Amino acid sequence: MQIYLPIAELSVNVFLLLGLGGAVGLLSGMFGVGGGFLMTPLLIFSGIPPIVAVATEANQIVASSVSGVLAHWRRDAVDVKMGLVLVFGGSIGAGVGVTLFRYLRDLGHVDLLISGAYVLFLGTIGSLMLAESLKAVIRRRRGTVKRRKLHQHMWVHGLPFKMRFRKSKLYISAILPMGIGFLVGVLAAIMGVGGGFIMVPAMIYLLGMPTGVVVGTSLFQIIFVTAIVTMLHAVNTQAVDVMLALILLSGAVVGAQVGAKLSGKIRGEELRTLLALMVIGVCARMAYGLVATPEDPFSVVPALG
Amino acid sequence: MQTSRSWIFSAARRGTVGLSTVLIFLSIAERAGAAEPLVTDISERLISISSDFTGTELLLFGALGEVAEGERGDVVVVVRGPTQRMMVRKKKRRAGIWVNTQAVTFEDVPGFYAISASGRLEDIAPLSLLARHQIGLDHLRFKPTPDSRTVVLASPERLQGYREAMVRTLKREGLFSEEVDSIRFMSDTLFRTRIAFPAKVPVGNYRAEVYLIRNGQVVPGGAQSSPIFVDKVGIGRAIFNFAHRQPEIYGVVAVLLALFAGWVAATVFRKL
Repeated sequence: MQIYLPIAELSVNVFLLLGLGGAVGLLSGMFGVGGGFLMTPLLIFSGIPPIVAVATEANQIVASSVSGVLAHWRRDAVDVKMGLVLVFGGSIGAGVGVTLFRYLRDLGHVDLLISGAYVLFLGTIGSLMLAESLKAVIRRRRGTVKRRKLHQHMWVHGLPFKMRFRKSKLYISAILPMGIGFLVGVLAAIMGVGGGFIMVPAMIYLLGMPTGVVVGTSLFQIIFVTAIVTMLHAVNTQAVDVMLALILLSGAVVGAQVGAKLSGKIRGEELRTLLALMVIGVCARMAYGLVATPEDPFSVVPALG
Repeated sequence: MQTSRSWIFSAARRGTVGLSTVLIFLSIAERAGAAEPLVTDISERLISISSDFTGTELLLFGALGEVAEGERGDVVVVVRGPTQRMMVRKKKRRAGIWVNTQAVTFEDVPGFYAISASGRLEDIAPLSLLARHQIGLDHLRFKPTPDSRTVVLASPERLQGYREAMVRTLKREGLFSEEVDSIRFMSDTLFRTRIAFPAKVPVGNYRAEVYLIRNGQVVPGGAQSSPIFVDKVGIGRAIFNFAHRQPEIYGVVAVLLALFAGWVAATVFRKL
């Protein structure tokens, strides 16, 4: 069954979209990640215009983060104060990101910006994850477990504007979470991701937050930042396709529930290795698109204005 | 007219054409009988892009008036979409990566252009006539905008390369087409042809032109033009208009919808 997407302005198979949503939802349920970094590239690979893919995915992530955060909220595992500081940085980042996005779109480089950002971030994160999870697998096989310190003190902890984050048991400079929020906000705007894959490691390793509140707080701030990104894209690029978002969402919520049930049955390290390989796979496909000789070096778009 | 009438009745009996087709045919056959050189009609004047739109096909019929033996002439059908400005970008490899470099913007590019003819255009009409009526992909006039000056001044060949690339791309997307020998004559005077519209056809006012050409000239009274409208309808149209006319409110609604959907999902699955 084909459906005509009003903003993307093309006709796509509904079951393909539901399947995509379901598959990415399954993975996000299994791994506890948002899935934007998989969904946006898959939409682009299946022919949705990159601008629409990014803007619409931001909208979809709002929904999936809301449904994700509620469970953490009930367990009181959200550091609201930290979340709001992250959102403050994130909203500035989102503004900068959408402005950059629009500027490069007018120059004809926005596809390059999206692919480039994906290759850079997925490549880095994927390699780090792969190395880390492989090490963990080897360590477990050898049977040695090293204890980690609660958190380490680095130069960043000497910055001014210190704030107390009671739930995270931290007394640190607000500049650091704001900076992280800013970076993630930029990425959300240009990549159509929630940024959990950067936010979660940054919270653990850079901020030193206790792991119990990390995921809930990350989801909490993702809701706000992706909502702001959705708004900014709606106004600046008119590329948010509500119909596409709702179809993806219906597939994703079901997939996420199934994934969450499955995740208990697979060992953590293997799961992380699998995720790392997927991240690297998407990165490689994006990189191939940048370097492979195109079928036709010319492209045609309706001129703006 | 006897032959055409018997053809259409027998076709209707065999079920190869629908009742509406029969009626259109009969009415245009009557009018053509009354000495008009060319009478045409289209199966539909309004193309509605609804949620299940995957492209469509229109049937264009026509009848010629009195025709002397062996003097029928040729028929050319041109369907033109609304004109717009189109930007053609060229990618070049820079440090291993393919990057958009120069661009040329053309004005007055029809968003849709389909030609259907009863023979090869060059055999039907002289170049001057094709050029005057802009019949045929080679005869469309696109003017580069002033800001494309750098490429234009550099070399005419390079500009031609951009032009050809645009036509090639739009042909690949089904938005441009030139089908010779695609008009079928069912009798001496009755003809029909199909025009295909892809799913990504632009909205707007279209024009279907039909030319009856004999001895390299358009027969007096043998040129007709009728409008076709392409528009989005239903929920798709509502969403598109909302997103473009009130983007701020659309953004708020999109966010609220997502918040609600997320909450519903969480609530439903918690109870299961």
